[in-house]
Amino acid sequence: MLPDSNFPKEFLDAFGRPRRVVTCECKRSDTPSMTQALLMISGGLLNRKVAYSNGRIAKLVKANTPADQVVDELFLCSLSRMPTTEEKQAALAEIATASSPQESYEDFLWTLLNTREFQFNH
Amino acid sequence: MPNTQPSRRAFLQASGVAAGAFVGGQNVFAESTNANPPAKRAIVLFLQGGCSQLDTWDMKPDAPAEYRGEFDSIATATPGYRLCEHMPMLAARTNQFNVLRSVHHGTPSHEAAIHWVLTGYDYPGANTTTKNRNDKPSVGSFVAKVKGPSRPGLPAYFCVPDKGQLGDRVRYADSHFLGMAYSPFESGPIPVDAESPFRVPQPLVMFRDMPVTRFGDRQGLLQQLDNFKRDADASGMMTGMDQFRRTALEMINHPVTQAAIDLSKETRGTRQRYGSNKFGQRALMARRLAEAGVPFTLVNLADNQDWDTHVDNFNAMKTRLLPLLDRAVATLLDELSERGLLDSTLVAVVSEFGRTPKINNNAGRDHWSDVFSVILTGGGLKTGQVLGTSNARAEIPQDRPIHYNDVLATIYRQLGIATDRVFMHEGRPVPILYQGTPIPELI
Repeated sequence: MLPDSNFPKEFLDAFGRPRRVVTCECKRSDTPSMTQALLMISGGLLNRKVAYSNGRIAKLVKANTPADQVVDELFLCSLSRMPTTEEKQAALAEIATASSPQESYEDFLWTLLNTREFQFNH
Repeated sequence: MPNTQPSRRAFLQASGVAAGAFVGGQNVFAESTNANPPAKRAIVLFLQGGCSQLDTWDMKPDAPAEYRGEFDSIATATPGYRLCEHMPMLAARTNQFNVLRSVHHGTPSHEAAIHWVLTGYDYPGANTTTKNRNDKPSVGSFVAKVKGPSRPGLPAYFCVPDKGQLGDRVRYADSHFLGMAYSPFESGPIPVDAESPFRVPQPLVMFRDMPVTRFGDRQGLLQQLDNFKRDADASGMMTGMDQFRRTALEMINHPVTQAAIDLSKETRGTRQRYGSNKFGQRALMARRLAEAGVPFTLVNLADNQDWDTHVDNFNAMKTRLLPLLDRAVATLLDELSERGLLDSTLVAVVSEFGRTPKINNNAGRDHWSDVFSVILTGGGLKTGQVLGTSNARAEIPQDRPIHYNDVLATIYRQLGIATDRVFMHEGRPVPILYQGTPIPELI
């Protein structure tokens, strides 16, 4: 059983769950697909979790965490490393221009989860 | 220190993120396209399982009972040519298509025959466990490679509903060495009747309709931050995923695929007209995709080798298969023609092989690849011809044998694709087809 009963079926299907039309030994698909690319960009699973009202970003915003600490934390929780100086500058510049910190952090985390680094290393 | 760089937002507005891989309307992925081919696109309807030639297009009313089967033949729009009684709509339209009754490839196993029919290449030992993926690129992938998408955000190659065959035990409609960028885009499940609602697959719609400006911001940030490179991308996965992502962003930026695939835009009357069943609704999807401009659409008119009638062939054919096929194909041809699309849209009805002329002990027919029938029309082809004959028991070609690759060569020709063009694979040149010439009577 999956721990999250709301885990969207389409996400698992796109990421290689066998279709189970018939019983067979054919291997599950392990190659990237167009549907995977679409789901990472537009999909409800990722977008909903990024914007979850009791999620990491919501808590950071509620605690008035300074932007540079938020950037560090989002890098650590997604790519398991600290940002480089350039990355941090780019992120902070983007966040500074945004009207809503919550939205800009959501956009930032979405971006990190859509990087090749996340998708191929993690 | 003041920031002297132009703001990324301004840059995005000026350049238009939406331009994606399309520069001035040119698709930079397409290698070459012949200037003005007669067919702009093709729809291949695939009767997976193996459709009996004797109970459809190649009736043998004078053969002994254990061969001819229980169906009667009926007159058609073509003088002297008779079709199965369970295909009355197509019988009235034989002047609008061509029947090729002497097609052969001589490969009687499902796996190898499916691979052959979808690629033009033999795959010795093809099976559902160790050789269940392409050994050569499929026709649709070659078309996608050579022609590219007809417009931004609309993939060049669609599979309806998916790229699997034999109940998804093999997937031979894929791109193989051409790379994942030329894999088919799968429409996903299609309603099984004319009443069920259709919902656009979630990934084609941006979550909660995010405003365009915010989605643009995200894409800009991604461009800035996505600098990770893997030195050895031997599998090509990262390159493939990059191309997928570029296409995916295009598909969200230009929702043409979302609009094309949305079967709910059709009236109930139209959905009924195609038949309130899975074949009809899939054929309707093919018409929508052709209308949108998809260069190649492969439609599986079967889920789990429905046409593989080893047992109870005649009941299956007259209840579950032929009436549905008759209405779906006839309506597709009618609608393409009414919309002025048939001249530029090649339509083929193919099966991986035919079935044994002699009826077996289970009132069924088994695999038979020595002769079977193919339907071809549209896309600038001449029409109304019944080409080639099989012998008295539909066992082997008699007059004008047609190798199956000639069918593919004809499709490629009409699409303006030279089949002697080669692509390098592991240091060796692989032609689009190694054998097969266009059928002169049809062009």
